[in-house]
Amino acid sequence: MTAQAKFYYLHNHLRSCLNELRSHALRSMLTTLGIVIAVAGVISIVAITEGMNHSLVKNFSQLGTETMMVRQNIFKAMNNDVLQPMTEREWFALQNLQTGISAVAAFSRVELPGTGVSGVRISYAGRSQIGRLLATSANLPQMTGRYPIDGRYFADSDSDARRRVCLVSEELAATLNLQLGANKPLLQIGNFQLQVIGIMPGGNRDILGTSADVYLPLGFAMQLNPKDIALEFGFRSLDESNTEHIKRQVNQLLRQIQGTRPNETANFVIENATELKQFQTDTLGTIRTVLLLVIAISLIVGCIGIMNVMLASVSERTREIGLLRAIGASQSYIQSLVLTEAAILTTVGALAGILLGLGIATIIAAGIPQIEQVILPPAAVVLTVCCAILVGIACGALPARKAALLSPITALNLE
Amino acid sequence: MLELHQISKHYQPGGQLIEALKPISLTIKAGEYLAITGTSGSGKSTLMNILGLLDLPSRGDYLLDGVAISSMNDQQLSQIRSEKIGFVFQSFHLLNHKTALENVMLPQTFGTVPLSDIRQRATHLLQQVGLAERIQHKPAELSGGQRQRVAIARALMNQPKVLLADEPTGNLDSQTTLEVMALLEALNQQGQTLILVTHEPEIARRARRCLVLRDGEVVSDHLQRCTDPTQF
Repeated sequence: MTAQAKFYYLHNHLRSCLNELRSHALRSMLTTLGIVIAVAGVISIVAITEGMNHSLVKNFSQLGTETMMVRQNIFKAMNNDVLQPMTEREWFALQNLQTGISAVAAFSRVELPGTGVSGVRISYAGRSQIGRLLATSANLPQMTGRYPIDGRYFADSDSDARRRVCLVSEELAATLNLQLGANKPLLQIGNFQLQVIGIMPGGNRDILGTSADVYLPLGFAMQLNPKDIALEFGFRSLDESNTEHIKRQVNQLLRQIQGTRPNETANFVIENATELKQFQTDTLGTIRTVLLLVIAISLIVGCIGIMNVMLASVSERTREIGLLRAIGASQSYIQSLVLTEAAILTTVGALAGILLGLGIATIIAAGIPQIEQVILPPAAVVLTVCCAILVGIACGALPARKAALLSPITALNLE
Repeated sequence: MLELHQISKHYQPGGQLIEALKPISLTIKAGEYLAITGTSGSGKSTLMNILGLLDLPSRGDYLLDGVAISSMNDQQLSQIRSEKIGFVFQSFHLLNHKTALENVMLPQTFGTVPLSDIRQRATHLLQQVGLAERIQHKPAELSGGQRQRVAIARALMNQPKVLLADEPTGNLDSQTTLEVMALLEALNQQGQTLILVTHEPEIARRARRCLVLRDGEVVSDHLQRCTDPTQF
């Protein structure tokens, strides 16, 4: 066969398949549904976990291995135990611990009445946006290594004086079209007006929970709603080789202050950045593996669905196949016709699944503060499409064989 | 052009030997108009299936256009079916979801001809069978006679050496039967070899040569028109 003849052969062949699929549009669509859902699942999980991983790497690259965090032990609350939140009392005690640690930064999420899942309404000059609030001590930038790109961070005196000042994230400033000028702009949050004194880089998302749309001084935040303040702490060990010792001391001190009984679970966990990263990566990996296993099962179900429909379609088209055989289609042509149809169905299903998966991932990621953006590696797309074609061929193999082996005489005589 | 030497066919369903076709030798020349006739079970369908390469003989040699087909594989047989044989069936066997034009195009869609050429030839053939106005109609929108004419156009698509018509008028009323027969005979007048399988004496009598089968054997082979209906 010449190249040109080959082209026309392939062109005619593909056309026949597409015509066939189009004449049963609804059935074709339903057939691919299983594949669409399975692929959408794979893609959304990959996109979300990759996005999370990206945030992890980015956040931890800013933190040295010597950074340590004291966080609430949320597992204790999950086990129906009473979780005693950490307050200024624990913060002062930590600051007085003189053994080889830097200044201790404290921060807490702030929720005002009417705060929803994605935050509270923040308004400025007629524009408004839902955002998250974070109350921090004045030394947070030293701990996270992120400093204002404009204006200044608040000082201890701002906090002590309960001054109504705040900083906004770069993203929020852009959304609200807010600029620092000679007159400090006034931001409306709930019933309060706050003066904006600086702009922090980036958005409100990171894995450590030290980013927000609006940063408030702790002093003011505690005045607002002292019961909802649950502090978390961050500091650096000045002697990296001694982190274990520092960890032990911090643990002892905080348990003592909180009056935790010897056998009781602590209300906090102490992690250093490396451990935190390892823990997050491990958790991410486990979640990903479990989810992908579930998806693998649904993919198998999707395959069986395709095979079933193709078998039924071959039975339904027995007469047509008989006719094609009579007018000169060979067994291998019939076989490749059914296989190509299956491959087209699964490929189209995979492409639709990728789009759907990306959509799902974007929606889910919008609700997870730790994810800055969803990331879909090209390799994952290529792999998914290749897999889908293979699956299509595997699913189509049995129906294709059945179609090819139909006896034209019997097939034609069926009424 | 078609040469059968001692062709026979037998089946063995469940151990019992059934001779569908006893050894037959037969030569059909190019341009002939032959009717194969007989009662049901006489073996005429078996013979047609063998002539049309839909079935292989149990014994004997079959030369089609000078080529021995006995040792061919499915690919080669399909190729010959596609190039040299045109089928016309009793129940038309048109694809209901395709238009008349697409049905006629069908035999070339698994070949290497460009689509535009296929469409052009199919349109031309539909004009030839008098359906120029109907090319975009689906089979359900056509009368029985029109459907059979679409089927004839389809059979002519690959310029076959031989046209095999299996009870082509079996589903038609007497008026359209005459029209379809006239069309087939006009094609034969232009040199098309035509083999007609029928159980109807009136149809068989129109052929220039008539082969009568009974119980898998040739009981008469007239080289002129069949005149005696009691032979069936």
